[in-house]
Amino acid sequence: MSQEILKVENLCVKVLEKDILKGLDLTIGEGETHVIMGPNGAGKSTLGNTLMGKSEYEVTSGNVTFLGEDLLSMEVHERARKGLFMSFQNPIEVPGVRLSEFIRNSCEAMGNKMSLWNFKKAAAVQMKVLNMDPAYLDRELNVGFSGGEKKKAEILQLLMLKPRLAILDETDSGLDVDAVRTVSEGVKAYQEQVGGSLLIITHSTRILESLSVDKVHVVADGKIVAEGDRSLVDEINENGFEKYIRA
Amino acid sequence: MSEEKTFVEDINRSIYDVIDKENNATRLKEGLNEDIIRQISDEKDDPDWMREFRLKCLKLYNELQVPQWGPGIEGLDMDHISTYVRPKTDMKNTWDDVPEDIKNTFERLGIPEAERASLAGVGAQYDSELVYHNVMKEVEEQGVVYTDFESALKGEYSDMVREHFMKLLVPRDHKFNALHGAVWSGGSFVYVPKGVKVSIPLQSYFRLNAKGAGQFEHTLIIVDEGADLHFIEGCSAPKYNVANLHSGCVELFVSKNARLRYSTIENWSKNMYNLNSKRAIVEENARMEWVSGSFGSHTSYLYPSTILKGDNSTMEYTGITFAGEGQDLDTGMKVVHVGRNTSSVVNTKSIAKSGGVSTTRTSVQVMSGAKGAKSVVSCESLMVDNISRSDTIPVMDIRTDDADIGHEASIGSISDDAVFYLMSRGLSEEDARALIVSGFADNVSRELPMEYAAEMNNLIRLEMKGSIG
Amino acid sequence: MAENIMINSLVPPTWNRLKVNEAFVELPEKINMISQDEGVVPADDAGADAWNIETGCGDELSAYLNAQGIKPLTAAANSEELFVVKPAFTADSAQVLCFDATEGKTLNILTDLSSGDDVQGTGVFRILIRARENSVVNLTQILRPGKGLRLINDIGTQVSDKAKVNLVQVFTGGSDIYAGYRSELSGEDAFADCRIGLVRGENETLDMNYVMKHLAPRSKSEINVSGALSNGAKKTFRGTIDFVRGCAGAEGAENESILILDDTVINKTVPLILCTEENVAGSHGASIGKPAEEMLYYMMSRGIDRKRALEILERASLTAAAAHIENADALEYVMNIIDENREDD
Repeated sequence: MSQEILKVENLCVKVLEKDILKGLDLTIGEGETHVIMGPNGAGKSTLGNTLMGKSEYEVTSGNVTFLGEDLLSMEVHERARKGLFMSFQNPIEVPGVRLSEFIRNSCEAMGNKMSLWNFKKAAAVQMKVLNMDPAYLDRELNVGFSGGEKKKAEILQLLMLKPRLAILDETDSGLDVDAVRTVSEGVKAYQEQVGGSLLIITHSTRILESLSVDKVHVVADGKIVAEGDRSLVDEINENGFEKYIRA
Repeated sequence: MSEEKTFVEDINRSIYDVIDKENNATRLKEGLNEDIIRQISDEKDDPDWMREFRLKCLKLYNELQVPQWGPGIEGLDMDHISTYVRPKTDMKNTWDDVPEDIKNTFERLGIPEAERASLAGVGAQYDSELVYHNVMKEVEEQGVVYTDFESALKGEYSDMVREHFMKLLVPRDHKFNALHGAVWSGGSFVYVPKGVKVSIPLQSYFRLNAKGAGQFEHTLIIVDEGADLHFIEGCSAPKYNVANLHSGCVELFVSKNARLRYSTIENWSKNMYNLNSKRAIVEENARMEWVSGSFGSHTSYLYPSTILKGDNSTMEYTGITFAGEGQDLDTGMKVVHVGRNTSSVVNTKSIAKSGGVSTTRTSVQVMSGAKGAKSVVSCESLMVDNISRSDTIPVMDIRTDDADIGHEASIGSISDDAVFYLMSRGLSEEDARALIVSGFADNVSRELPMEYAAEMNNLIRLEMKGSIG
Repeated sequence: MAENIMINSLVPPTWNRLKVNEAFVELPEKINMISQDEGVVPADDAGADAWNIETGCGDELSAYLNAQGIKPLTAAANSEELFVVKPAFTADSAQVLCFDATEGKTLNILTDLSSGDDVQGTGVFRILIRARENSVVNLTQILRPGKGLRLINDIGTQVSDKAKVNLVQVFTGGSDIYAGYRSELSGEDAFADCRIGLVRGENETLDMNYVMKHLAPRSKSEINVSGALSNGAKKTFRGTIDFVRGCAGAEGAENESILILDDTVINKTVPLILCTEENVAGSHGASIGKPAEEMLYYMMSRGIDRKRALEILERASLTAAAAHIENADALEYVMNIIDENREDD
C-alpha cells in the first residue's frame, strides 16, 4: 500500500446523546479512491462531519490520524489547512460574500496568495471543466444557487484548494443526469490534476460510473460491515442493502 | 338555540349577561381616598403591615401618571368606580351553601360541572370576595395549598405571603399596580410543595356582577422545587352601560426544576377596562408556560411578563386576541433573559373585526450576561375586513453576542382562493371564512384544555357570523 | 443656546422604559448652510412649499432648519449619469437637497457623507425626493463621518404611480449617526426599496427611523438591514410599515439580520406593522445574535480561521447592501470605499 493518508481506528461518535458510529475502522492510502455506501441513517454523513470537526459530533472513543498527525485535536480550519476537504451536502448560503472572495480567502489561508488577476485566470480554467459561467464568481456565496450550482461550486473549491484528501458527502444527491456527469468530470479532474485521495460518501452509484474506485465499504449501524472492490458496488446495485441491515 | 352551557365561554352571550340583583352586604362609596382604604382594611381585618402597604400604594397611585402609550382610558372615571363590593355571604366549601342567586350564576357558567368533570380545585370569586373554595382531597393530602387570599394572609403561610406579595409586581411599576396594592381584594394563594406534581388543573373563576365596580383580585402562586402545576383562570361579567374596571395582579414564582402552566380565557363584558398585570420569575432549569385568550372587555392592557432568572430556564407563550366591534385590545408579552442558556418561544395570533382594534405589543430583552439565550417570536395578524385596525409593536433589546434571536411578524387577510376552494366543496361563504379563522387560531386551541378549545372555536364561529358584506 | 430637539419618533409609541420611543439630539445655536455644490441651485421661493415633504427625523428638525434659514437647494440632475454629492461639512453645517424626478425619468444620485477628522460639530444632511409617474430614483448613500462630526441624515420621499425609489445606504465607522427615512407611497404600484448595510463599533450610536407609508393600492415597500456590531456600539432600528385604509393589494416587508460580535453592544430592533386595510401582506423577520455555527463551520472547513471568518462576515454586511446598487459607477465608488477599509488589501 502507498503512503497512508488517513487512518481511522475504532471511531465511536455520539450526536445529541445518540450513538451513531460504533467502532468504525478505515484506512486510506495516497491517491486512493474509497467509497462509503450504506442505507439512510447508517452514519455515513456523521463520518464526514466528524472528520471535518463539526462541533455537535462528539467522539467518545477511537483515533484518527491524518498525514501522521492526530486529526481530532485540530480545529476545523487547521484540518483544512492540513489538506482535508469536505464537499457539503447542503452548502450554506452566505449573503454578501462573493464566491470569488470566499475562494480567494481560502486559498490565501492555505498559503496560496494570488493577485485577483491570477486568481480569476486559475478559476476560469477550472470553471470550464465544470461548465460554469465565470460570472458565478461575482455572485453571493450559494445565495439563490440551484442544487446543481451549489454542488458545482463545491467541486470548484475542491479544484482550487487541491487538498490531500477530499470527502464528498452525497455530492450526487438531488442532481439530474447531466449535473452528475459534470460533477464527476470535476472529480476526475481532481484525481488527475492533484492525485489526491477521495472518500466518496453516497447511497447511489451514479457518480461512480466514470471514476476509478479502489475500495468500497458498506456501513450499517455505525460500523463497516462489508468491504470489497468495485464489484461490491454492482452487487449493491442489484440487491440493495437488505442483507447488511439484517446482519 | 338551546342554552349551551360552558365552562367559561359560551356561544350564547345571554348566559353572561344575566345581571343578578345586587344584594350586597357592603358596597363602599365610589371613588378613592384614605378613608375608603382604611374601611377596606377594617372590613378585611388586615394585618398592620397590609394597612400601611395599602395607604402607601394609594399615595403612589395619586403620584403616578396613566400610561401615555396604549389605548385611551378616558372612559374610565376612577371617581365613580366602586373599589370594594362584598357579597352577602362568607366563603363556602360546598356549592349547596352558596346563596341561591350567586350559585345560579356559577351554575349557568358551568363551574360546578367543570369541577366535577376535570378540575382538582376551584375558587369562585363574586365581585370582591371569594364565595366558594374547594380542593380535591387527594391534592390537599399532597400538601398543596389552595386558598382564598385573605385566609392565606392570616393563616399558616402568612410569612410566605408577606415575603412574596407584590415583590414581582411592585406598586411603583405603574399607576394600576399602585391602585391594585391599595384596594386589592380576593384572589387565590397556591403553594405546591417540593416535588409535588399536581396532575389535574386548579381553577379560579372571577365574576364581577356589581355595576360600576372594580375587581382587584390578587393571585400568588409559588411552585416549589421540582413541582408541577397547571392553573386556569377564567373571567366574565355582565354588560352594563357604566364602565367597570378589572385590575388584578398575578405573581408567579417558579422554583428550580419546577414547571407552571398558567391558562387564561378572558371574556369580560364589553364595558370592562381590563388593566391586568401578570409576572413570573423562573429559576434554574424551571419552565413557565402561558396560554392566554383575550376575547372580551372594552379596553385591555395585558402583557404577561417573564423573568428568566435561572440558568437553563425556559418559557413558552401562546396567545390569541380577538377584537370585535367597539373593542381596543392591547395585548402581548414581555420576557427578560437574565440567566445563561435561557429560551423563550412566543406565538401570538390576533384577529381584528367589525371596527375592533387589536394591538400586539411585545418585548424581548436579553441582558449582557445571558449567554446562550435563544428566543423565537412569531406574531401573526389577520384582518377580516377593512374597517378594523391591527398593529404589531415588537421591541427587541439584545446585549450579548452569544444569542440566537429570531422574530417573525406577518399580517394578512383571508385568502379569496381558500374561500373559493372551500365553497367549491359545498361550504357557505360564511362557514368557509369561519373555518379559515378557526384554522388561523388552531395552534392556540391546541394548547387549551379540550373544553376550552371547543368553546374558543364556537366563539370564533359566532363572532364570524354575519361578517360578510 | 443649544437646542434639544426630538427626532425619530415611534408612532405609536411603546413602553417608555425600553427607551426606543424617540431620540433627542442637541443641535447648535447656529448652523451654517453648506455652500452649493456644482450643479445645485437654490429652490425658487415659489417652489419652497412644494418641498413640504415629511421625513423620517420629523417636524422638529424641519422647524429647526427653517428657523436657521437653511434653504432647500434643487439639484439639476438631468440625466441618468451619476450625480455625486459630497457636502463639505465644516463645524455645525447643514444642507437640504431636493430632487424632482419628472415623469418617466431615471435619476442616479450618490451622496458621500464624510469629513476629515479635524471637523468638529454637527452635520445635518437632508434629501427630499419627488418621484413622479413612472420615474426611477436610485439613491446611494455612503455614511462615514469623521470622528468629530455627529451626523444627522434625513430623507423624505413621495412616490407617485408606478414610480420607484431605490435607496442603498452603507454605514461604516466614524461617529454618532441619526438616520431618518420616510416614504409616502401615494401612487398606485409605487415602490420603495431600502437596502442598508452597517458596521459599527467604537461606542458609536446609530439611531434609525424608517417609515413606509402605504397610501395607494398595490404599493410595495421593502426594508432590508444587514449589520455587524462590536465594541460598545449602540444601534436602534425602528422600521414601520403603515398600511393605510385604501391601499388594497399593498405589500410591505422588513428584514433585519444583525451580527453581534461581543458583549458590549446594545442592539434594539423595533419593527412595527400598522394596518387598517384588509387586503394587504406585511411581514417582518429578524435574526440577531452570533453568526450561525453552520456558517462558521463551512468557512473554517475551507481553512479560514474564526477571526478571519468573522471579518469576512462583517464586511459582508456592507456588501450585501451594496450588491443592490443599480448604477455601475455608484457601485464601484462604494465598493472602493468598502475595500479601503479592509485592513489587508
